[in-house]
Amino acid sequence: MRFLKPVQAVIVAAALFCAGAAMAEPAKVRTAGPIQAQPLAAAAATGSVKAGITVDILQRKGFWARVKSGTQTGWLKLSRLSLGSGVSGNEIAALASGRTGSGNVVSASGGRGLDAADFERATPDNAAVAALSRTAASESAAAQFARSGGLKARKLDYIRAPSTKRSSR
Amino acid sequence: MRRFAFAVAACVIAVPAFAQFSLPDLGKTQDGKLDLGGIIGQVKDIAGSQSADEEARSGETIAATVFGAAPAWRKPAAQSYVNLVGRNLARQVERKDLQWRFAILDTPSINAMAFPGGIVVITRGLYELVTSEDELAAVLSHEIAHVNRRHQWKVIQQQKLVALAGSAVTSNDKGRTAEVVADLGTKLIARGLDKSAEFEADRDGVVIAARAGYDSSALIAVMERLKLLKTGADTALLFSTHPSPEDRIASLTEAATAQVEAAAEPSAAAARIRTAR
Repeated sequence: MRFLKPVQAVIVAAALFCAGAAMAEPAKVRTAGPIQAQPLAAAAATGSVKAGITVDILQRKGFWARVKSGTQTGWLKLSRLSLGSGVSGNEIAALASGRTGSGNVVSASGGRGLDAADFERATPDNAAVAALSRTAASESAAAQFARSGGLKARKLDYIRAPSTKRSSR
Repeated sequence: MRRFAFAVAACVIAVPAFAQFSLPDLGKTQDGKLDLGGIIGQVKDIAGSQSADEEARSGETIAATVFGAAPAWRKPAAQSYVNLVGRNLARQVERKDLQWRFAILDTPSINAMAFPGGIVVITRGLYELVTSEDELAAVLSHEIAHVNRRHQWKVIQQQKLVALAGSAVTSNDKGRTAEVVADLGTKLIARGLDKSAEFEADRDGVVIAARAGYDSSALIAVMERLKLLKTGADTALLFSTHPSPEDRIASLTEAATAQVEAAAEPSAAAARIRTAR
């Protein structure tokens, strides 16, 4: 069995530290209500939380977060939480290092961004638009691309606007 | 203005006259009764196909202005990749038969835009910010939803009527009309849509992505990364034209159905984006 070299061990320890930081992310509860046994609307309540208290996020899954409040743990929908920075400690470290981004991530690049004045000054580039047809993908190529990526299509209805369907959660 | 008022009055008089001549051949049921719904449907079909052409042309004109401000990124592998991801997503919507075209703009600005008719662009800044194909799909799906719902086109059409009425130009003056539409479209990109349209595109977008097999919660991951960004030159346009990432997460999460929540799993293709970096 191979053992980690000292440098590798430090990196692993740092990663574990960051992961630990991620697990302790605090968040404020926006709306009072139950916390649930599973990240499902129909799951049983394991306790309840009041609006305005701070909870610790232990885990994230899709639209839900597993939180700890005192001795209680359970799942809350993200819409019931103010997430602060909302990004885990290891993600912040990765972003700061530029590992996952372009270097423009945490702060502006120093250059001037694209804005309304750019559009007003621009000389229309019709050739660039014409060139789009050359890089466009056909429907059959896109279908093949989906298959080669192992994507499994699902049948799903659109989500109705909240004004026509109020969530009970 | 008098000329415009006269034109309106002439139309009011002319419509019943037109109807008298046309009704015998148009919009009757099999038993000979008048079918007003049928008449409206047929007129809508004719107007719809003309409008689709106009929509596509206008989108190309607006896109030309945007490409004039930021050129396409000279990275063929990434351009091809974005087209494949985007076209597969567009297969999931009602307007799948539009001429869907996707491109990465060579700018560090962080943004994505859709133009009437099916052209969608993402900036290099945002393309490099997303960390998986699921997240890229979430961004593109939001833009596809805008086109599918004709969000921009509806606003342009409403404002076109006002602009043309104000300048007393008739709809037959095609050159002037196209100019007005292009100007309105470019201003719309800078000003942004109503918040309700953005929230709707978020809701539709997660469904479109999930239909294609992607993680329905990937847009939330993108929003959380956007929350880290300081307001600056690279993000000013994005933040001024969209609700805050916090509000978008809250709105989307509140609205998500059990069906959509069940699709919140990374796809098998999540890591494929690395091949096109």
